[in-house]
Amino acid sequence: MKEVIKPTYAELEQQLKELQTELDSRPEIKFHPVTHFNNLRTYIDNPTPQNMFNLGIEYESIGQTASAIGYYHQCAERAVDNKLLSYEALLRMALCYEKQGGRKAHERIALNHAISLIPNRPEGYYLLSSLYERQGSEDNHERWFDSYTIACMGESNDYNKATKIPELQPLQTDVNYYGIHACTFQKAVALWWIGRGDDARVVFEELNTRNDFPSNIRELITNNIKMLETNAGREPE
Amino acid sequence: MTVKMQELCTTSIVKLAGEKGALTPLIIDAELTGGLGLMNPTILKDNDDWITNVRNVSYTLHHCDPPNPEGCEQDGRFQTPWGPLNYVRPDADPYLRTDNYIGYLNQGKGIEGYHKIDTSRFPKMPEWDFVGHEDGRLMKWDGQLWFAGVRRHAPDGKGRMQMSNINLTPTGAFELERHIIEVEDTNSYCEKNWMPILDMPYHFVKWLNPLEIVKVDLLKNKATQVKLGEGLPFDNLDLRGGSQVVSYKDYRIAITHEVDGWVAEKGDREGHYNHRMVIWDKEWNIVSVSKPWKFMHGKIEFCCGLAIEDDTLHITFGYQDNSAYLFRVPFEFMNNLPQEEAYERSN
Repeated sequence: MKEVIKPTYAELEQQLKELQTELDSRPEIKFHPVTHFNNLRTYIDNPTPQNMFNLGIEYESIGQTASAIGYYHQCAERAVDNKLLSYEALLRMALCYEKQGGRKAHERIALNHAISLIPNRPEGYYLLSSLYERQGSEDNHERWFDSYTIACMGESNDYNKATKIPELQPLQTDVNYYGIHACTFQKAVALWWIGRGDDARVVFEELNTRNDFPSNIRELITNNIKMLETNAGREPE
Repeated sequence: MTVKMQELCTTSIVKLAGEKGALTPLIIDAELTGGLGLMNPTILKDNDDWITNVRNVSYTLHHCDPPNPEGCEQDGRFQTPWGPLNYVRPDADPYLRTDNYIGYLNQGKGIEGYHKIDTSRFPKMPEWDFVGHEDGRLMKWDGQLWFAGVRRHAPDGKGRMQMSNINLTPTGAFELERHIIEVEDTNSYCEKNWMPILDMPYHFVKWLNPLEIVKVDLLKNKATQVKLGEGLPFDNLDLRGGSQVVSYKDYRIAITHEVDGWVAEKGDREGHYNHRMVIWDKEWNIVSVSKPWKFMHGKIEFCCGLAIEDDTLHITFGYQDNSAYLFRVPFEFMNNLPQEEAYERSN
């Protein structure tokens, strides 16, 4: 005789529908599905820096940035034989602090650590320049000069000159660094804010001749050029 | 002072237990918490229900955890200007704030149906550096659900245990009563980590070595000593409170913690925590104290929850103040961990 497993699939499906109907009709009840972690047991059994990093990624992917920062930090400390992994873990810490918001001092600290570890990679400079840009556009205007300086440092390092094709060992994750002209773009933005509108126009026009940007950056370049044209020239008092 | 890191406890019981144990993250939706720290959960078995509370803090703990090869006394490569241990709070908020999310464990032993404890019935209190009801333990006494942890008070940070009566419903969790418990020594600066004795309503283990038990009078909001034991027959044990005290067969069991702190070369404070399992008989004679262990290799871990079903311990703990976990493990495994050797009293 064929064994019937209870509840049947159809019964389960019906129960699920009823549960969903109840949840839909009672917005005050929230359903919080249990998260399954793929890397937790691996981390416990074998707490290598790479396994710490993987667990950090998993926590970050569900928005648990404090937990992620804990594992990224541990990874950075422990990866004494893998500078690139430490570097990326520190960048991810900064990105998590940015997501949390209002913790710019610690974003800066993590990025400074990363840059100090591998000064000839561009991502840390780009993120630090972007951080200073955010601070500059809030109420800390002197940070525009920091944004410009750090962008120049990032643009000028050996692997990131706009005239060279970079040969960087890729990172494991997307850290929002979109390519070799990211620091140049940052420099162009900051130039206007430190009073060098003509120089900003030149750099943006140079950038506008290239086609190796993500579409959103292309749009930003276009908008900046329009804005710079609108603001061009002195006006009488 | 020289601290030889290789002498620190390196036992991870979660790893050691292997497949005998089960570890589950206790996650509160980041949409509610902003992804900030989840820590120091507690647990209570209430008939068929498993109730748990997860502490949510407004900070992220930055804590260096370097490999520390022999001869190395540097507390990490990636420190903050304020040292290897720093509470990363919002730049514009100097306070370390705590909220609590209470709910139920489901069959997968994750937390669901949870709500932030609504404390709005009580007026906002003057704030000190730490704000909120911290490291609460759950208990069910006289049919009421209680949550007992420490609250720090302005202007100087005086700490007193707070007992809150919680009404947990499908649509919310509400603090119905709040009792700030005064102690006999009113000059005491900070009273915290009292361990509720689940089968002795309103009783707490206040200190472990020597054992001190107090009973709380909720009408007077005052705790009175009801038992003072002898010092434990072990060397140098500075045991402090952790989980609830849970009855199991002819014994009472608790998980305790102790802190080993030091000052780093630059003058910043640093430290780590160890845990032990302590067993008494029903007359409060000590039966065993395990040697120290850690849960998951972490320097800062903290346990404030223990429940037992059949022969399985359900232990909840916080990891580096940033994550919360439930660890289920057979009592037998824990009881077979290395034990402290008692010495004979000279008198």
